Amino acid sequence: MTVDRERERATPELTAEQRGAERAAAVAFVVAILAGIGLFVVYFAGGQTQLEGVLFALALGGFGVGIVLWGNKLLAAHDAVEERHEFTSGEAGREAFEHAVADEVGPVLGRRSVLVKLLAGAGGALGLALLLPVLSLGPAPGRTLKQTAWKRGSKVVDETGKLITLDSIPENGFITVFPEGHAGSADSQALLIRVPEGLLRLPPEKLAGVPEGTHVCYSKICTHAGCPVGLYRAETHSLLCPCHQSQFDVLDGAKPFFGPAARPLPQLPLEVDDQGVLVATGDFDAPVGPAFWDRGKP
Amino acid sequence: MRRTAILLGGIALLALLLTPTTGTATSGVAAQQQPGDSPALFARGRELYQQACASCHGPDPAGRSAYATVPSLQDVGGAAAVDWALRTGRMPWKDTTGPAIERGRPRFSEEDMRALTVYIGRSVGDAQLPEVDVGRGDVTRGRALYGQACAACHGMNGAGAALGGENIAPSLQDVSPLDVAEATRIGPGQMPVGGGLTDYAPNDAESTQNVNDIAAYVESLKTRPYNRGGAPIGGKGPVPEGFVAWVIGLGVLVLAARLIGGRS
Repeated sequence: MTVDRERERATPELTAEQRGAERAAAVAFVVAILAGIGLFVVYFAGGQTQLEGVLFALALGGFGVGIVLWGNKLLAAHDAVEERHEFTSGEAGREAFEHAVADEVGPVLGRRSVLVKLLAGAGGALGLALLLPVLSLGPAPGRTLKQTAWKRGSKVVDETGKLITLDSIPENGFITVFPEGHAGSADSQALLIRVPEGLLRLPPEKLAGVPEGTHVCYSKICTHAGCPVGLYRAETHSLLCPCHQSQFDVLDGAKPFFGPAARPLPQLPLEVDDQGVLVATGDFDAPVGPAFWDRGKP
Repeated sequence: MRRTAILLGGIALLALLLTPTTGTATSGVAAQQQPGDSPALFARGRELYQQACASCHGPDPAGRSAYATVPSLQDVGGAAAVDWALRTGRMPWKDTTGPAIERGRPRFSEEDMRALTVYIGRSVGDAQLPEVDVGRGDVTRGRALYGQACAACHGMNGAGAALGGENIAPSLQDVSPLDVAEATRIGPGQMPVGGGLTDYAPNDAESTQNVNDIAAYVESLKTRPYNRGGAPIGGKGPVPEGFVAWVIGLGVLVLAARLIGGRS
């Protein structure tokens, strides 16, 4: 012990290596601060996902590199073994201890006070960045999750806005459709599938929305995580979601038969108008996409 | 008794399946000597059909097939389907264990494939092959159509994808424009007829233009692969990417954690 302390007192100054480490840690903290502030600026300037990712990585990484350098290079890292002695330290012992603490810790912390401030700065910048997700929580979605652009009388069009008739799809074919005026709308996209006659196994109220008993239409948004369920396997009349391999039986109301999705794809009821164009007779029969907190409420 | 019958049937089937391979080797020369006139081609097609196809698809292309699991050629899509299956080496069937979805080398000479296509096509009453002309296709428009209709399964880069179960959407990176046109027309296997195109109809001018455009885009992938940046890792999407992320990414993190946490 005594020898140790003597040795440390003899070399109170930082070694060249430690000074280098101190500078490196300071640079890392500065990087973290700048990246944290940059993240904040980018977020409010409209946001850019890739750039935000890089900045967030720099903020976390700079913080991490800084404290690792500090911990590994700048803190006294030797094991100190204290011999047993009587339980109460004598007056002299306690004084010696306080001196020792003051000698070893005080000056060291003092010497690195710039680092301490930088650490606080980096932590603050990071904390500020972590507030951003909270700001992104609002505003409340209202009823937008429960309805789409489809309504009674919406004409069915494809992505280019072309009107869809019964003959627009060959048997065992399929296309992606939208309500007229909303081509490309994310939550309204639906798959219109033409299956051979007599194969659908739907209850009468659902079959009523299937023109000719062959043109069935389902939401294209997976009920598990919201990916587009665009992979139609015509031979088995099933849909596959590429994200997590949920599979839906087109003939049986798009009920899931494999994978993590728990609910069928909502069906869009259709009819043929007097010009032969397919039109919707209402919105989907359930909210589209993944579950949300008050999905069950009307 | 029944087991013996199955065994004998199996051996007979195997023998029949092996026959066309030897038949092909000799027929290549013969076919070149034949003139391209139709009656001779038709007769050659019938001869090849009896050698290579009849054992499974039945003696008459338009009639019943010999097995419940084998389609009658009346129902597969006419000449386009025959030509597609032969040229992509999917028929005659390479093995009897899985669906015929793997591409292979064609087993017949050009002339013999033409003979078979003509013979079967006429027999089932659909002898027309789709027309496709990449030179008249618009790559930009094709890319947009491909994105709407084909990319969900085959990927924007044409690398193909797993479709669940033993189904795959095969790679389109080395297919010919005629393959694209034929597959769109017949919807082989799990592929929907028309491939997801609006108002698709064979021989329709607009559909032909759409297919030309898509074929032009698919053709362009050979010289200009579609890559959004970074290492494509096979271009097959989340499975190989996840493998790299978990094994290499996480591995590096574990090593870094050891480096940081080591006692100094």
